[in-house]
Parts: sequence; structure tokens; C-alpha cells
Amino acid sequence: MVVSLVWLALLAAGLLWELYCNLVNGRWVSLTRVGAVIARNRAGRLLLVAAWAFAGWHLFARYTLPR
Amino acid sequence: MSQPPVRWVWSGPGRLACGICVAGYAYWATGLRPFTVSAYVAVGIPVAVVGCVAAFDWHARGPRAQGAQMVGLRGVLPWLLVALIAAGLEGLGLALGGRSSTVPTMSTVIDHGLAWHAFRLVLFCGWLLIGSAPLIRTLRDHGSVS
Repeated sequence: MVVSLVWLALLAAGLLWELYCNLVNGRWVSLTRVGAVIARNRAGRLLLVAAWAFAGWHLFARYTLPR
Repeated sequence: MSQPPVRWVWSGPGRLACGICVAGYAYWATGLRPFTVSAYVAVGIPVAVVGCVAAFDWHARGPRAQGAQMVGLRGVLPWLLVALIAAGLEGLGLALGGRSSTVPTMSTVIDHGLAWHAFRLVLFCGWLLIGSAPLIRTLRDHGSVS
């Protein structure tokens, strides 16, 4: 239960931090900007698509409903 | 003279029609049983479209992409910390068999939410939105060419 809450807190913190970094253009870097840097060449773009595809496959085609 | 197709996509009715189509597709895709061919195909279609755009037409032309400079390690420290904690928890969960109720993996936690169709629908729409960003950028770039 505690670790589940830690996971949820991590996800929420990640989302809030991404929002903060996008709103405040300061010293911290958002994931969007990291993605833009990676996507500057074709190999980077394909790597991002592969990561996105893995997430989609894992979440929507291979999920297991808890008993 | 009629509007070019790309311009139409960016018009108000075009956006509404795209939104309805995407929502309908997401509703269908998230209603499929996991581990079936149709579930793999439903995820594979957007992946194929975005993969083609990434491989052939997604040039970094937008102002954000053109202004993308290398980022320093200090700027991404919070992300590294989050990734480190996540990797540690995931590793521990997997070491305990992957289905431990004491230390569940991220997949196990998310699976509880995925039991609801509405949650899957929202998550699928978010996933599509993230992945279609390059497609939207490409359409916007083509549409802005006069």
C-alpha cells in the first residue's frame, strides 16, 4: 500500500514538475525540451517513437486485470 | 476555391471532427480484450503512422525544435532523481516476483486503474496526444506554408 502511494506520488510529482518547467522558463528543463533535443536527428526520433510504442503496447494491449 | 486538406484540419470544424474520430477510435481500442490480435492492431496503427512521420517527414522545423539546444546535466537533475527512485522501486518489485503486494511494480499499480474502461480511455487519449505531437507539428508546418 505504501509503495503504491509512492508510485502515485512519483507520477503526480512528475506531472506537476513538467507543468512547472513549461510555465517557468528558468534553470530547470522540462521533458518536452529533453524530447525536442533528442528528436533533432532521425535515430533520436525513432528512439522516442519506440519508447512511446512500448508504453502503448504494455499499457493497452498487454495489461493484466488484478484478481 | 476549396481549402487545402491540411488547412481544413486546422479549421474549427476540422479540429472537432478530428477530436471526435480520435475519441471514437480510443473508445473502440480500449474496449478490446488484452493479449488479442485486435488489441495489438489497435495500438499498432497509431504507432505505424507516427513511426512513418518520424522516419520520413518529421523535420525539426518548429520554433521550439529549432531552439532546442543541448541541455545541461544540472537542469535535468530532478528528472534523474525521479527516474532513479522509479528504477529502484521497479527493480525491487521485479526482484520480488513482479506481483508482490508489498512492493508492487508500476505496471501492477497502473493495472488496478486499467480495470476501468474510463481510465483506459483517458490514458489512451493522453498516450495518443503525446505520440501525435510530431504529426501535429508536421501538419502545422505544412499548413503554415503559403
